[in-house]
Amino acid sequence: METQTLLHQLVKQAFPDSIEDSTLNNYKTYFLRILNVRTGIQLMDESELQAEMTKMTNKSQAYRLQDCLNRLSKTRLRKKNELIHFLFRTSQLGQNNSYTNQTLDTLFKSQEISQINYSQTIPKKIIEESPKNNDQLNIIQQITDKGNVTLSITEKDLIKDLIFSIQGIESQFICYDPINDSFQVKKDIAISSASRKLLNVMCECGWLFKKIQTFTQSNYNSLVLQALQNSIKEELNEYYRLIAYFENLLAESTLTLRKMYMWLKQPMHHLVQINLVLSQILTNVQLGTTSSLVISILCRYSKHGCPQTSQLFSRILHQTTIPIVRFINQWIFDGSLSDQAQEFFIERNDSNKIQIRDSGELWKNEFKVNQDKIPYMISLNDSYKIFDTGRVINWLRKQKKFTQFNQNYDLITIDLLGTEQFSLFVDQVNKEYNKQLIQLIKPNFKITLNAIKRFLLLGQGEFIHTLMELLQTELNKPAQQCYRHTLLSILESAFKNVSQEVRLNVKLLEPSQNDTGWEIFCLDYTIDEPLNTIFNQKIMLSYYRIFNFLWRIKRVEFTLTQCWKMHQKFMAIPNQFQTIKKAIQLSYQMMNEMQHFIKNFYSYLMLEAIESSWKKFIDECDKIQDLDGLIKIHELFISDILDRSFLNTKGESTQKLLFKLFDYIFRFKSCQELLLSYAKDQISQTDNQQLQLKNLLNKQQNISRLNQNKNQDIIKSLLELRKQYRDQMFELLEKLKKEDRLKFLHFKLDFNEYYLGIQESKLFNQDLERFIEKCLPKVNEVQIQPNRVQSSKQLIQPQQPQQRTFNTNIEFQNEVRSVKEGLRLLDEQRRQQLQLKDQFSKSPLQKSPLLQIPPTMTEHEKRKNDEDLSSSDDD
Amino acid sequence: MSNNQNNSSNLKSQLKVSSLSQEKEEAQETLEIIHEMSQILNCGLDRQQLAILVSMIENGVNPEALALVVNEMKSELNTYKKIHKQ
Repeated sequence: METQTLLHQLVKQAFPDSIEDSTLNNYKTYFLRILNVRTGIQLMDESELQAEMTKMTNKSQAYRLQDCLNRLSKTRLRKKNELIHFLFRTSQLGQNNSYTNQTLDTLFKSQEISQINYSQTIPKKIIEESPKNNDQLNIIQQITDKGNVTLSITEKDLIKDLIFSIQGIESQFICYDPINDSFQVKKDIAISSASRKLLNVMCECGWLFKKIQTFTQSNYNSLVLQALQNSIKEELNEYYRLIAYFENLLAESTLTLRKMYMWLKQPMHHLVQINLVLSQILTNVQLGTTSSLVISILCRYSKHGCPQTSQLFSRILHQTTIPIVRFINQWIFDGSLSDQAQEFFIERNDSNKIQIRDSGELWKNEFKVNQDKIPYMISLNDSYKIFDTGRVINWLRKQKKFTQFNQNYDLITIDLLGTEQFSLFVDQVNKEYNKQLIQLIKPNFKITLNAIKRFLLLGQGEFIHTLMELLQTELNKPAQQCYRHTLLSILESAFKNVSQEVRLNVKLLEPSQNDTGWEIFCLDYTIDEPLNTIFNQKIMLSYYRIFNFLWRIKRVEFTLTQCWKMHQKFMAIPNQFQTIKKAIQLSYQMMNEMQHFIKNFYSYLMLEAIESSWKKFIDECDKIQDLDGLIKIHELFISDILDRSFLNTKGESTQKLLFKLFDYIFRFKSCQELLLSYAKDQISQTDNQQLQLKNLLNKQQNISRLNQNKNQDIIKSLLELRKQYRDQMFELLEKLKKEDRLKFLHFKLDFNEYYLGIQESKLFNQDLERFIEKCLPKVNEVQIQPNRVQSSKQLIQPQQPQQRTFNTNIEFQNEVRSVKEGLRLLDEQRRQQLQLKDQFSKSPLQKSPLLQIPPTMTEHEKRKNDEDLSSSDDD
Repeated sequence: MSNNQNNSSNLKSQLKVSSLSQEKEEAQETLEIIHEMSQILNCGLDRQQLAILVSMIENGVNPEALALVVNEMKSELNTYKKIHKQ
C-alpha cells in the first residue's frame, strides 16, 4: 500500500539515521495503527477557520494565510479541506505540546484538558500494542470511557437492530417481550427517551409482520385461504424491498432513525389494515364459513375511503376470488363440482342420505344452494341462476345427451364478478342451457302427456268402454282372486282395437276387506328416464287417484246401461201383470233419474274439471323456459283437477256423498235384477195357472197374495232406495249451492228444480203431519197419508177394487161420495191449519217454518190428486 | 536533490498531470503554498515531510489521525533523541 510506503519514508526521514530497524518498525506499526483508527471526524469548515484566524495575533500572518488559502483553492489538489484541517491540527497539537512539559502525564493532569478534543476513541488494541506509552494510554482510555457512556452504542447499531426487529427477529438490543407481546428496546441500554420511543413505535411493525407471517405459513385446506396467503405474501414483497433499501442506505451510512420512521409509516399502515382483516378472518376459521366471509370482508375493505387501502385490498381481493371464479366457471360450463374444502355455495346434498330412486328426485335433491356461503358480491338471484344452470347441465349429462356449446362464451373473470354484466351473463348462459333442456324434453313430454290424457284420464272413450266390458267378469270377483296376468292379457286384447302401440300396464292397488276387483284396478303408464323428473312418484299417485275416481263413475254409468238393457227385456212382459208393471215403471223412473245425475256429473268432470285445466296447462306449456317452471305448472294442473273433482282434502265430504250415491245406484241395480227375476217367475207361474185355473183358485188367491206381498216388498225396497238416494242428492245439492263455481253443476243436476220441489213438499208434509198429530186430534179418523206414498198406495189399491165385486150401483156411489167427502174434509182442515198458522205467526214465541212453505199444492201433487180421483172413478 | 526529485516524481504520479514540465511547476507551486502555510501555522515540518504528508492525505488518510501521528512522531523523536543523547 502506498500509505505504508509513504509512512515508511516519512518515519525514516524524520528519525535520525542511527535508529535501529526494529524500533523503526515498531514506530511504524504504531503509527499505522493510529492511522487506521476510524473515527467520525468533522472537518473544519469555514467558520472554524475564521475563528482560528482571528485568534492569531499577527495580522500580517493572517493575511498571508488567507492569501495562501486562496492560492490553494486554485490548485489541483483533491482533498484541500483535509489538508487544511491537517495543518491546523498539527499546529494546534504542536502549540499544545509546547505549552506544557513533554510527558503526557502532566499534560493530562493540567487544566488544559478542556482544550483537547476527545471526540474520538482510542481503541484498546492500539494502546495495548503501543511499545512505550502503555500505562499512559491506559489512563487515557479509562478516562474517556468514564466520561462518555453513550459512546458505546451508535445510531448505526440501533438501526441495524431495528432492521432485524421489523422482520420479527430478535437482535442485540431489541428483544421480544412475551408478557407485553411486543418488541422492545432493552431497558438497561442508555439511549435518549426520544430515540427509545421511536424505536418502540417502529418495533410495532415487527410485531405486525410476525403475525402476518404466522398466517402465511400455516396450512389451510381451503383454496380461498391459500389464495389469500399468496396475495399477502406478494404484498409483503414490497416490505422486503423496503428492508433491502434500508440495508443499502445503511451501508452508505445515510440512514437515521427518523428517516426509517418516515419510510415505515405507509407500510405500517398497510400492515395494520391487513392485520385487522386477518384477525376478523381467523376468528371465523374455526366456525367453518370462511371463504364467503373472507371475500365479503375483503370486498368491503376494497371500498375503503382511503385510496391506498382500497387499492391494497382490491389487489388482494383479486387474487383471493380466483378459486371461487374457477368454481363458478366449472359449474356453469361443465356442471361438475370439485370442491374439497366445501367452500363453494353449491354443494352436494349428501347429508340427508336420500336414496335417489329416480331422476325426479335427482333433479330436486342432489344439489342445493347453501345461502351462508354466497359471497358478498353475488346476489341471491344470480346465485340461484348459477345453481340452475349447473343443475341443468348435470341432468343433461346424466341423460347422456349433453352437447357443450360454450364456444360463444368466455369464461368468467374476476372483474366481471361484481358488476351488472355478470348477472346478464349468467342469465344468458342459463337461458341457453335451459333452452337445450326444453328442446330435448318437449317432444317426448307432449307425447307422454297426450297418452296419459287418453288413458289415465279416460280420454279415449271407446277403448275404455271395451276394456270395461272385457274386464267386468274378472273384476267382479273379490280382490284376492284378481290376478295381474289375467288382467294384463285382457288389456292386451283390448289394445287390438287401438291403432297405436301404447305402454300401458296394470297396477293393482292394495286390497282391503270386502273389495272386489273394481276397487283395486288401476291403469299404469310407464315413464321413461328423462321424463321421470316431471312425472315423479307423487304426481303419478295423483294421476292414479283421478283415474280411480273416473273409473268408478264410468263403472256406474256402465251399470246403468246394463239396467237399461234389462228394461228392454221388461218390455216383453204382457200387460196383465199390472203390479209388476207399476214396479217396472217406478224403477224406470229411478233409473232415469240416476242416469241423468251420472251423465251430468261425468260431463262436468270431463269438461269443466279436466278440459279447462288442460287448456290452461297447454297454453302455459308453450311459454315455459325451464324445467322447474314445467314441473310447477304441471303440478298446478293436477292440483286443479283434484280440486275440481273433489279429490283433495277440501272436498272430502262431497266425495263421501258421491260414493254413497254410487253405492245406492249399485244397490238399485241389484234391486232391478231381483225385480227381473221375480217378473220372470211370475210369467212362468201364470203360464201354469192358466192350465190349472179352476182347481187352484184358492191357491191362486194365496199365491197372488204372496205375490202381492213380494211385489210390495220389492216396491217398498225400491221406494226406500229412492228415498235414501234423494236424501243424498239433497245434501249434495246443498253443498254445491255453496260454492260459486259449482253453480253450473248444481243447475244441471237440478235444472227444473225437481229436487227442490220434492224437498219443499216433503218438508211441508212432515211438518204437517207433526202439527196435525199434536193439535187436531179429531182428524185422526181420516187417515191422511203423505202425498208421495199416496201414489204408490194407489197402485196397490186398484187391486182391491178389481177384486171387489160391487153388488149394487148404489154402494159404489156411496163409496164415491165418501171418498169425495174425505177429500173435502182434508181441504177444510188444510184451510184451518192455514188460519192457525197465521195466528201462530203473529205470536212472537213461535216462528213456525210452515210459513215459508207455500200452502198450495204443487203441480205434481195436483196431478197426483187428479189421478186418484180419476182412478177411483174407474170402475 | 535526489530527495527533491523523488518528491517531485511522487507528486507527479499522484497528481496525474500529463506534461512533465507543467506538472513539475504546478507541483512545486502547490508545495510552496503548503510550506508557507505550515510555516505561518508553525507546524514545524519541512518540505520533504510535507510532501509525503500531502501525498498521504491525497491517498485518503484521515487528516486528524495523521496530525496525531505527526505529533506522536515528534514527541517520540524528542524522547528518542533525549535517550540517545544520554
